[in-house]
Amino acid sequence: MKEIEMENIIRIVDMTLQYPPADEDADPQTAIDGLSLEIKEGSFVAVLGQNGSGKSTLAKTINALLPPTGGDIFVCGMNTKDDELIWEIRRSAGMVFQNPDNQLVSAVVEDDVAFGPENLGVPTEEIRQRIDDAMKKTGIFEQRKKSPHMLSGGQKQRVAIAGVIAMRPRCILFDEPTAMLDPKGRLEVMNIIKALKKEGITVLLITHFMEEAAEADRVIVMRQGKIAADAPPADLFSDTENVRRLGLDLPPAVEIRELLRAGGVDISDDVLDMGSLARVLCAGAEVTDGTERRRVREE
Amino acid sequence: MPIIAENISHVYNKGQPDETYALRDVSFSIEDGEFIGIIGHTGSGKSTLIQHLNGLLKPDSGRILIDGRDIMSKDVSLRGIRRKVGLVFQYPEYQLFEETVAEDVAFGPKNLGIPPDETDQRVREALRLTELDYDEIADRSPFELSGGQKRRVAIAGVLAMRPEVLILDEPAAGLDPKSHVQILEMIRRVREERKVTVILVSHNMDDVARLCSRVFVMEKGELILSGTPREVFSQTELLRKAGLGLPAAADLIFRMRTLGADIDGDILSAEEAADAVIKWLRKKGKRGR
Amino acid sequence: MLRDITLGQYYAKDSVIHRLDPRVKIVAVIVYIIMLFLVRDFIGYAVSFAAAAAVICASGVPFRFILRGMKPVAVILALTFLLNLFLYPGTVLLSAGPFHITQQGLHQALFMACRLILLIFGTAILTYTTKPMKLTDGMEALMSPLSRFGFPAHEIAIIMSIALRFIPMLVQEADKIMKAQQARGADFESGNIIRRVRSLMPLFIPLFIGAFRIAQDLAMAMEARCYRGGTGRTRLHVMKLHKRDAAASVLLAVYAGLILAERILPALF
Repeated sequence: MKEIEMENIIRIVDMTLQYPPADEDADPQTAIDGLSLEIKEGSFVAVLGQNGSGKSTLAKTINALLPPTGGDIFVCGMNTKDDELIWEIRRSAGMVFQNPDNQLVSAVVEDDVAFGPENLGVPTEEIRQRIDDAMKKTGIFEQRKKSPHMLSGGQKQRVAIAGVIAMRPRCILFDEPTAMLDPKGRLEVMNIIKALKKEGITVLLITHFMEEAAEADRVIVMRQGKIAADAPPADLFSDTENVRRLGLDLPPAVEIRELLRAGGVDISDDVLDMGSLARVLCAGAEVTDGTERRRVREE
Repeated sequence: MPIIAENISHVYNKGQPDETYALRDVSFSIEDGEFIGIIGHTGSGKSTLIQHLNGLLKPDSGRILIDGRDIMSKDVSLRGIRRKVGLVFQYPEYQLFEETVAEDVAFGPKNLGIPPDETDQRVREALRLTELDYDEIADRSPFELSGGQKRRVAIAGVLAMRPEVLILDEPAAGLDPKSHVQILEMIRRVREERKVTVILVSHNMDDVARLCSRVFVMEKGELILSGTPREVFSQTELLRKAGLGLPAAADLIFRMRTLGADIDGDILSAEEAADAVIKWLRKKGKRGR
Repeated sequence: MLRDITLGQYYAKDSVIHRLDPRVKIVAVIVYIIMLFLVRDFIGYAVSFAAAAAVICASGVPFRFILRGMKPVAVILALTFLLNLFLYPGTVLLSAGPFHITQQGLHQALFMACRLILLIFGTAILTYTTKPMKLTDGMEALMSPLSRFGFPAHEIAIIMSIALRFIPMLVQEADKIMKAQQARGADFESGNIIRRVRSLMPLFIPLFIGAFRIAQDLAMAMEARCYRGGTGRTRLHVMKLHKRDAAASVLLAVYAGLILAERILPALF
């Protein structure tokens, strides 16, 4: 029994969330519409969808920041409706937000990272150990005495991640953590996300960047509060027509891959990033087949 | 209305131990109708540079000539310069303040002392250029619009001044892929219709490669490279040193070359990359036999 | 320039004064201020000055930094001095037209000036040697006994620390909005008062909206990190009193004793 619960770290059953109407005579706005979803512990799930599709609302309901108006959400087996479990839910499923400036509480980096453990009542010596650990993992240990105000966007976002790691969560929800960063900052954050996944932490990444989604084990596409697609990235991005219909883009590497395929080059669906594409093209085997085939057709 | 920068430097905390050059000896000239892209990582001086072009910041040395006149000289009206050189900051939607969209867009023209009739006409034109429906949106509060719409309203606020040069600092930052494409497409159309010079600051190398006629590369306050996208993006080493990436297609070719593939030519678009790779594979296939 | 503004005026150095427990420093400054108001003559000031000077020397903060701290209050200082000098009744020393300088006036003016200068020395040395965050921690600790009577000690401390974090950010934001509106031809500098106040609306409205947005985001981020008020919270920095704090307390007592003796003893005899 226990094991079954462990396997799905997040379980959402027929969840609906309506925001109260703006005017009295208006209808309530439905942000999430009867959504069911199960996420396995240790997986890396990316959530795509246009603005207003309900992605961010989804993350906030999992963190028990927003109560669903219908259905249930279980995080590590705990129902988010249970007020007594709310803190344990937020500790287990930490959250990193989009704006790096608006989520840091303290004027000193290490104090900010300590904020979560302090709130949890962790003993002082252990707080020190946890935050040093978290800051080293996210590469901001050298900056620990500085003010967040002096850091780059990517560094600030890494401070926010360290603050969540220091609470020792089993799952981290990232709500567009790279949207406001430059390419360098984005790369820094993505590298940390991948390292966390390797450590066995479940990652839910909401993003607009297709190349980030391509790194996940599973991609969920939201549309009007519902799940419009749910597949491994290799499958999702191989159906170009469907991708466009969902209002998404192809990851840059897949866009070129598709052009190459149209030109007769044989490349498999799981080539999703530029590094693999370059390697596959230079490695030869399948490629020679492709050109052979092409040659035959041409003759 | 050409813009010429002559050896401009800008120093923060001058004379103090933490003195830093935000700009160092930057010179360039921009002709009418060009589409300039400015790239460089955060803190490279891009934002400081564009704020010099409409007199929001004063250079510590050097000068900026617009229409052949130094914009800092006493007989040049800064307000006149700011009318001609429209600047849209990053996340401009956070600067909206009026009760209605129409009033907000009219803020610029009003400051310029444009009569009400013409202001109204300009507001309509600016909303049309930014692909917003005047009848539907003019009397609404800007704060109840969606993020993408707010940004368009803010851009309309600058367009309503009928600038001859339009500078945009990361106009697509934080938007979803669809809105991202739409906003850049809108800028391209505004440029064609209004015949404005556009200066686009961007982190997105693909956008710059696709849209711009000339690219400036900034690093540590210096203009280290300028040229057509093809010229600039062939300088992989220099860009790498400046902490910058490449457009996706150029990135693929660069990676393949690093792995030993002998592919020639400067490649910018996905189509070019696919063609070049297929050609190379065929050549290799022949050789392999 | 707006971007240069930083809150507080901490002078980074590793001196014994810097290392003192913030609670001890806050109490010391409060005692020092009370003593300054009890001083009756220049001897008391001389003692206070000697005490302040000793602390400044021990802190390693250059004296010119302390003087720089006087700049913002220079006008008040000059005004106090001049008002006392010219308006105090007594034996006339000098007069020019309607202005008279009296002996008592001169005494009073110097007396008040000394008090103000020494006050500034005290508070300046506190802020120069104590990081704002430590000050907040110290105040929270000192006020916490009051929370038993419903005094929101923790809340005040967290408000202060959030202000420390966000005020520089809001200043930057204001700078950005101002520039953006200037780029649209706004004029913040000319015109009469009413025009100028009106011209600030394009600055204030987005700034307030921005501040509310930050507040909303921050509240959510704090909740997500399990913030639920002061109860059950532990702290990363636990303040511990060291020998140096005991020594400082003894010195403080000696100083207060001297001032009190000087004030009370003549009355006894």
